[in-house]
Amino acid sequence: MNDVNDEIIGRCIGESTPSYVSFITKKMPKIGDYVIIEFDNKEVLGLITGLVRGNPSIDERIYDPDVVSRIKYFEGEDFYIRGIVRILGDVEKLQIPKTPPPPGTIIKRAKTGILKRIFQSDPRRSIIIGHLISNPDVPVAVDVNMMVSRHLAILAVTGAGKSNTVAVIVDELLRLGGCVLIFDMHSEYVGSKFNNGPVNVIPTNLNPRYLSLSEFLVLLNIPPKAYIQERYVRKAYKEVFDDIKKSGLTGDFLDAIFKKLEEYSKDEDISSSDRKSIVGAMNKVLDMKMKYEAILHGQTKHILHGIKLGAANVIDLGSVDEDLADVIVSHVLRTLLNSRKQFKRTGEGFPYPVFIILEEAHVLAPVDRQPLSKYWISRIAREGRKFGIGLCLVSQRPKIIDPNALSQANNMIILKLVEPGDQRHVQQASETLSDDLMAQLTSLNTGEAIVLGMMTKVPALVKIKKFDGSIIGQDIDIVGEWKKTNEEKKKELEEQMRDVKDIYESGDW
Amino acid sequence: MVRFAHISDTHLGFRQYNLDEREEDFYESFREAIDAIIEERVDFVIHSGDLFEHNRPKVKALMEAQKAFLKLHEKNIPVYAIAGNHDIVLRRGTIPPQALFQHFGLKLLGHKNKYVVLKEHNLFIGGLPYYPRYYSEALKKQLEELSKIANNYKKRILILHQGLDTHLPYEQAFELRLTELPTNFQYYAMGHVHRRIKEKYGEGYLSYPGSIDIWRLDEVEDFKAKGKGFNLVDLEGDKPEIHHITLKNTRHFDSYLIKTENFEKELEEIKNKVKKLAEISPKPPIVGIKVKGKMKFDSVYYGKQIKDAIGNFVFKFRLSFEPVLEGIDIERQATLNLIDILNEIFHHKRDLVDFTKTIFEYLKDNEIDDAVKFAEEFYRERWQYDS
Repeated sequence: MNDVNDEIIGRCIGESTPSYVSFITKKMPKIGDYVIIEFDNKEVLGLITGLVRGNPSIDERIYDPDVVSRIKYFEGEDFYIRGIVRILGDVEKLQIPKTPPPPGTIIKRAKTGILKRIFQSDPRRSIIIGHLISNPDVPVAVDVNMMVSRHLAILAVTGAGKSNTVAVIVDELLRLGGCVLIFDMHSEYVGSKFNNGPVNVIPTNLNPRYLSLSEFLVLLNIPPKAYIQERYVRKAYKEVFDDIKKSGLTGDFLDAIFKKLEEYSKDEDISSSDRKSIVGAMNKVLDMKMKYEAILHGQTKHILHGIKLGAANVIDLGSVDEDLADVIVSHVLRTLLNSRKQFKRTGEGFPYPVFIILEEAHVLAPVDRQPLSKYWISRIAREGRKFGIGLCLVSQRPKIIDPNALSQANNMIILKLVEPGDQRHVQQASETLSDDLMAQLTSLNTGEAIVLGMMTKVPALVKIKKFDGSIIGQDIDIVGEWKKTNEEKKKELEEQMRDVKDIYESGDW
Repeated sequence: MVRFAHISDTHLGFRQYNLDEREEDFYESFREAIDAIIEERVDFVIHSGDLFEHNRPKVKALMEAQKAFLKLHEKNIPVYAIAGNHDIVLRRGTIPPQALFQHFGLKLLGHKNKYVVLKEHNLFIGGLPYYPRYYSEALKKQLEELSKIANNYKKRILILHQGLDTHLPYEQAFELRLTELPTNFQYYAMGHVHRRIKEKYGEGYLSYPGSIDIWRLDEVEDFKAKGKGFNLVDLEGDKPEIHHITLKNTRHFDSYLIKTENFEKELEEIKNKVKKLAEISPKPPIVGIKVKGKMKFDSVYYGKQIKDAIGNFVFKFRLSFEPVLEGIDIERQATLNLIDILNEIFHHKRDLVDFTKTIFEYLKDNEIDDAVKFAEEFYRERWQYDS
């Protein structure tokens, strides 16, 4: 790339502003190229965000292609290139200049050295997520403190490289000895391998005693409108906890709730409709016991106690239903936030910051429904900064993510997004995504992203690096898998038949 | 008219609790069964595996088998047999002990020949020896082939020594799913499971006649309900008719729980029950008694009391004690399953899982001699290890 460094691209034309300037050129720069404009004793960095190519003789009023070919015959390959540069700031401090560049100012390609200085950061406090699309020699680092405390959203259509991006970030955070907690909706990370730290799979067991009343009601499948059932369950829940305080829990928590409800149902003073509701609630307790038998354990320690520093902590939600996933996520977020608050206040509690990765954020914090997790996601989105809990919302359907949560994600890595509704929604939630950048979203290739927010000094078009550990979520080679399985089965059968013939038919008798 | 007897899991040479009498019990049960079979004037006998307890049976067990097969041979009753998991070692070139009786009218299926055809009855009898789980693909393939050949004949019998998913209580302990069996047979002569089972399958019935004596204590419930014995099968009609023949001389077993809090009263009740058991049992029964009580009770005292109460009525009683820790209710994890754990440890290697489980069962019952013997045998078989 050295040969093109410092190369003059063209000159400013027309009316310019402190943030945008048009230019005309004969060469062909690319969108996403960084340029330097020198004026008023300053070197100012800009990003090419738009390019147009035209020929004044061949304009839109010509209606006959033969005419075009005749003009071309006379004029040859003559055309002009007009572009738009978005001014990002002076190269020293990255502050937007107070004055617009004068017309005619020379526009130069930015040197690799300058770009490196801008996009690199202290490796002890930052992570490298890839390199500039326009210049592979320039790695792009993002600031971890800013990323975690101001939250992050990773948005893209399916197959654009979300999982890879998450994996790169997780691995880099592990390099810094960080703590990542992944809510793994599709069991992608359970079997993954990171270069810089172990995967710590936390069993999705819940101790019913630690559930809040609202979490308990969701698992019991008692909807808000069943207020009579809710009233009695609330009463039972409270009384069981009072009993535990007094004399400890001797048996199973759910059995204790069941017994309380049974007592109420035998009370002669209650109406028959109330009795019916209570019996209904008793059935629901039994249902809950059966349905979640495998994960509800009275002896289980709290999920928070399983989290390890320096590891990718994975909570596998791939095989649980949506209600349960909701309860687990809300349960963990709620108790983590409270524990971190307590730690800040008293020194007792969860002792270090956590970066939480929420896959399928549109399921956990949707616009139009009110699952429990949504409340705690928006609480952490608002308050997490103060207590060292960072959220990473990952989604392929940003349109239906709760805007309150999304707008708190100050940092964004946006890979390819095609749907205009998604784009608009993201733009509304982000103050830094301008129209010209948004226009790039449809034309990004797999693994290419726009990186925005406080974690980076200037918006960047980045080729996210390829994660070199292993994750399971990547696309599978369907035909290959069929073929492989067929061959394996055939081979397996042949081996078995050989063994079996050896054992059963080889004796000389 | 085709009538035959189907017997299985005779485990000759099995020496329960290391008792001469228990070894003898199995021989007696076998003799009784063979005599009953001869009396029924059957056309032939099917033995669906585990003829012997060990793949290298002791001479006494061999002689019992020899006598029985000679008797059948003299009456011109052929035997079609397969080898069970106890009869074979999974090693190249080993010969199942059944091969000794080839000239006494026993035909072993599944090795050189996987089937016989009885022309006079247009009857196909196919059989395979025990296939461990890790050869289940081969097993399915063999079944497929047998099923195809069988279609050339009017009546079709299949002999197998396998655990089916529907009849083994533990996960992963079966080699074959019921639905993986071919469906074109009229009688599925099964061995391996020791309970007596009969159910509709394919064009007729699938049946485990069960073991001929109580081989393990978990068979006691089934024994109390259905007894031990063999099947008598009539293949004349559209569907086979199956009669359970129950042996009369099987020694009875039972087990009881007694709590120290109410010891005298409960002991009296148990004494009466044991007395009744002794009356119906053709041989003095074997009784297991578990004493449950608060930590540190005087087990010698309770043992003596129990012996005085029931000693005269039983052949042997087996005592076990279960102390309860005071004030602490030890909650057990309901999902803990030994087989699951072993499968995890041994990566589903069936022989290792089986081995460890058997050792565990022995040690649980405090049968240390048996455990040592079993372990030695296992090591000898696998690695030619001597003591």
